[in-house]
Amino acid sequence: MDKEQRKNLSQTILNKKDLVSDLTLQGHFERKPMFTHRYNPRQLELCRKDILYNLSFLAQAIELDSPKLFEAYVRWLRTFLNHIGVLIPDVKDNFISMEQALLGQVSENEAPEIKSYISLALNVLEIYDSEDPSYISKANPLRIEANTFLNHILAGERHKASEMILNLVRQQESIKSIYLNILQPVQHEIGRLWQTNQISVAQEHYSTAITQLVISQLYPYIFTNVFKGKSLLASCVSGELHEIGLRMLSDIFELEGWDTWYLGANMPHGDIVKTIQKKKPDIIALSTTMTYHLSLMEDLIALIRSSGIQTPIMVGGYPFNLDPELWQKVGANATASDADTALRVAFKLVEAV
Amino acid sequence: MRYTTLVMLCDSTGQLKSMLINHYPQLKIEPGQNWFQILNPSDHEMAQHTFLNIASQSEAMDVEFVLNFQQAAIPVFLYGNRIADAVLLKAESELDDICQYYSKIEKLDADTISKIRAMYEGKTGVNERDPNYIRFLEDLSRVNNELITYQRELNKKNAELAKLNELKNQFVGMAAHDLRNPLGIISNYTRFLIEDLQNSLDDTQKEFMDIILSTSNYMLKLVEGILDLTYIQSGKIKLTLQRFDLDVMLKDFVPLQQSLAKRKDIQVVYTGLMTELWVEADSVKIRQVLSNLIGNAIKYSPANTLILIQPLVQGSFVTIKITDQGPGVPEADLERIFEPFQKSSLTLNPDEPSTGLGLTITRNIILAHHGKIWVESTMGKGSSFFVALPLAKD
Repeated sequence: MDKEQRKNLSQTILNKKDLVSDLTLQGHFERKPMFTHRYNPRQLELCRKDILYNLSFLAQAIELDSPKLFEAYVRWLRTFLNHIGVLIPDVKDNFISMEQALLGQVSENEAPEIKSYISLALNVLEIYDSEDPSYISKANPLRIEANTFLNHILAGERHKASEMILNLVRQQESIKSIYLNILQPVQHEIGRLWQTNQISVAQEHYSTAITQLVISQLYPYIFTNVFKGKSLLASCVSGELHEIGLRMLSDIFELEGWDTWYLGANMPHGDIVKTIQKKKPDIIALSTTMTYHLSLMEDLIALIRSSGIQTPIMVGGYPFNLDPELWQKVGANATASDADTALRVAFKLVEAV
Repeated sequence: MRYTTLVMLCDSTGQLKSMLINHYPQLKIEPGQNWFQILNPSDHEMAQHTFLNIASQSEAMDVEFVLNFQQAAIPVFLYGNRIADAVLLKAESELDDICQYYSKIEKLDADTISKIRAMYEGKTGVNERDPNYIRFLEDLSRVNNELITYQRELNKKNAELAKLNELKNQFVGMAAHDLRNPLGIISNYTRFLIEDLQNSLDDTQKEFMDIILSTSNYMLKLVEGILDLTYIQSGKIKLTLQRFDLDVMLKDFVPLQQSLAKRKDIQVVYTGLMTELWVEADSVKIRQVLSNLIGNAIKYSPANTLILIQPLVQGSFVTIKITDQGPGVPEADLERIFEPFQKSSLTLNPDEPSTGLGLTITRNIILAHHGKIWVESTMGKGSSFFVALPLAKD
């Protein structure tokens, strides 16, 4: 399928997602009649919502021709659902019903694409591989501090958490090292603990808020106003609330002498373009965590370019780490998997200009 | 492989009751524990047989039991996951189903059930998948994100302002430095002219010359104050610390101030403590502080009054209290007078102009010594300025 056809198929899935989710549920119950009495109305609604999520991820992966994205999503889903007690065979049944529902809504030419993605999902669900280990690795030079910090934030001890980090700063530990060896892996670890149902969504949000608080207390050390002449403008795409990764990247650029403008989460695209035109940065960094925001990323980059802005654009976030070629598909100039790589990439991009 | 067993188990109402009371909403029975406690004891043998039978047929095993109840259809789901050699059983029920159970099986009235509902909600907190709850958490995240983004902006702006302030200090310092010399020349040459021409000037000319001298002296004082302040604000204040007896210094220093006070018939009195007051401080700057405070007291006091200078030892500090019988400082000005270019709202004698910098410089010098300065005042009766300095350690 060419790009246009994939975009059309993706659009069909999104346009018909309500109907497809209803048909999926219907098919699911036809296949397993005893399930009909298992769900109360609220549970039915939740199940329907999960199907809508699956369809969003599927549509996005098809549009960007990225089976890797869908594979990663299903793997993530399998871990998550398994940990909250949903049986994997049920999930498989659900995907099979979704396939049937979708096949009734797409053309004959499009059917093989749907079948190949669902078959990929069923294969992933079949595998019982070991789960991701802790993100605080044994090779981490600050692993003891990272684990202590994690324990403080999971216990809701925000004062202890921030005091511990500020003490490290007083003991001359570099801010960059604190970011890369404590704050970043601990944020990843919190995500893993939530995914594996070891902490609640409220705890996950609270933990992120504590990390944000700690970062805000590091700001007086970060902003020294000593610039080496290069500037960066960083923003999440519209609707994206996961911002802490890009924030850390911006702060590390600032520490390295870049003048940075960090616009934050959920920024309207028109405002991003206006700010770029006003500030004229040397590099633009855009981020998304949720795979289903990738189309918005593509739209944003197209909007920036159609506004006559030729500044190099670097993209990053979870989906770009899953599919190393994705940055090209959204129209960016480069990607980087972490802040250190981003610094190197940014220098190269600036030199090339 | 997955097996579903839909078996008519015996009435497990008693077990269900215990489960709901103790374990709502999720009951996890870890491998090794007795998961049979959920079932009616009459079903144990059959349930065990079912599990063993399935386990012998398949390595990977998920089993679902649906418990039926004879008195009412309350769905409770038991999920069995085979993990290694153990079986993990999980039972779930919904709050609505629990309420149905209480109304149908326990036959409780609506009021009691609503209390039970509240109890369960209180016990288990919120439903994590409730869309309203998720929206609430997202809103909190949104607000938090915005707050920290503003905070980042604020810190960045602060750093920019600090840099601009430093540039301003450098500029003002340079400007004031360049103004000081010509102003000094104007002042000195005016004084020479007044001295040389004192017999040949008429009264008007003499008055003009006096105005030139006093104005240039005031400007010189202002420029020197600005220089002092910019130096201090740039963080360049350097103290030459030495140990000295403050009591001895005050005994020498206070009589020198008496000459200034004489014109107004003001008496400046130092009451010593008959004890040594060793401090480790910059004696030149401490003299500047005392000169400033005593000078102010003289400036603001009416004629024929008393200015009292008393040392007090409190803990590890020595406090010098300078009390005048002036008009007092209004309560609203007690803090403000230490800010640059802020003068007391009380009008001053026009012959004794104030630059508005003396108390700011004084406070900065005291703070650099890890000391404290404050004022207490009663309108119409007078003011007391307190300067506390740490006593030198043995």
